[in-house]
Amino acid sequence: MEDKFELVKKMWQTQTLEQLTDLNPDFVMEGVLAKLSKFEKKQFRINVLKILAVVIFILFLAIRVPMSFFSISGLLLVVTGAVFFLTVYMQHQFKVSKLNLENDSLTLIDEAVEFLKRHLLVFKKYFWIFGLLLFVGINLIYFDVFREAEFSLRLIAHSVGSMMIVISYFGGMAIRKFRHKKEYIPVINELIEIKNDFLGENNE
Amino acid sequence: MNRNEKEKYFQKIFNENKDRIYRLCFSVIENKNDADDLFQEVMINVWNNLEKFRGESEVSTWIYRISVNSALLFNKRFSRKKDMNPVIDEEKMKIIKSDIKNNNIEQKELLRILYLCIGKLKRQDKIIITLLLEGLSHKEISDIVGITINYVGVKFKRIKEVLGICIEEKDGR
Repeated sequence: MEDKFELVKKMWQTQTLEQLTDLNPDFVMEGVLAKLSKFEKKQFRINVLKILAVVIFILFLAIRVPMSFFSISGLLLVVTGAVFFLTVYMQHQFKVSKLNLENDSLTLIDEAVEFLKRHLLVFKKYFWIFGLLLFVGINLIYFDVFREAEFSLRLIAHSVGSMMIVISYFGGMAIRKFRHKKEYIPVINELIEIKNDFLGENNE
Repeated sequence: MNRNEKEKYFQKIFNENKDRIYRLCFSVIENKNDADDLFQEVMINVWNNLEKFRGESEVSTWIYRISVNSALLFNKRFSRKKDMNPVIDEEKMKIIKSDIKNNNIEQKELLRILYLCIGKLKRQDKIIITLLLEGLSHKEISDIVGITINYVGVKFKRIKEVLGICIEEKDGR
């Protein structure tokens, strides 16, 4: 086996990229650079879009709601909730580019697992704050907007608005839970399994 | 380092390391198209980390570290292609069977069997055996992966045993 291994090692090292794949090295090189600039532009556009969406939402509400204490307070609560959650979410969003790939693999695995766990915790820890601020904010705005309306209409407006928020909140949480179970937890488990395998000597 | 200098440096690193990095991707990933994707992802990660490279280690060791880490995290955007029962796809097999040049038929067959047997290992073992086939020392592998030098030796012994049995079985047919 020793001789065979040395022989195989020599053969192994003679294999070139061109022999193993139809990828053209020039195209790969160009492709990587093109992909990078596309990715940078795409990221920039996504961020601009997110900020625009928040600004449009705030402007839309600001135009529609009366300029009174309750409405402005409600609007501020909604905006604070949205900005707060978006910021926390983006900070904790898992991206390979946020990891230090120069670390050794065991350190990287620890870092990745921590990152993924933090990502999972974002919704558990902070989404309720956004939900609560939205709930209170919208009800404050409704309280102001429907101030002059009949009691039954006010009740319906508050009930429908609140129900929509509650349904969206629990729906959002359920979708998250499903995605975590399907996508993130298996990755965490696999990384832990690899780590344990790498650390096998300590278990022997 | 301005963009122009960075591109030139990247081009140099790319030309000097493309073969060894592609071999690693091709060895670790069962599916040929995914191996191509991993290779591109490694190169993107090399580009993104290029400015951080301080030259404390060999460029090749630094690139191996980025490649190994990219391979460990590679999972097609979490779309989970579980490789509990890895199968080498037809396209990859075709390449292994025919396109590996400069070797005689017997050697080609040995290389083909080796790929088949490596394909049955766990991802982390595939990485270790590939690094050994690339000629890295136990010390270098220990630095890249983060396990002790002794344990690299233990791992190598075990993987070699498994590969030995697998190669004997396939060779005997």
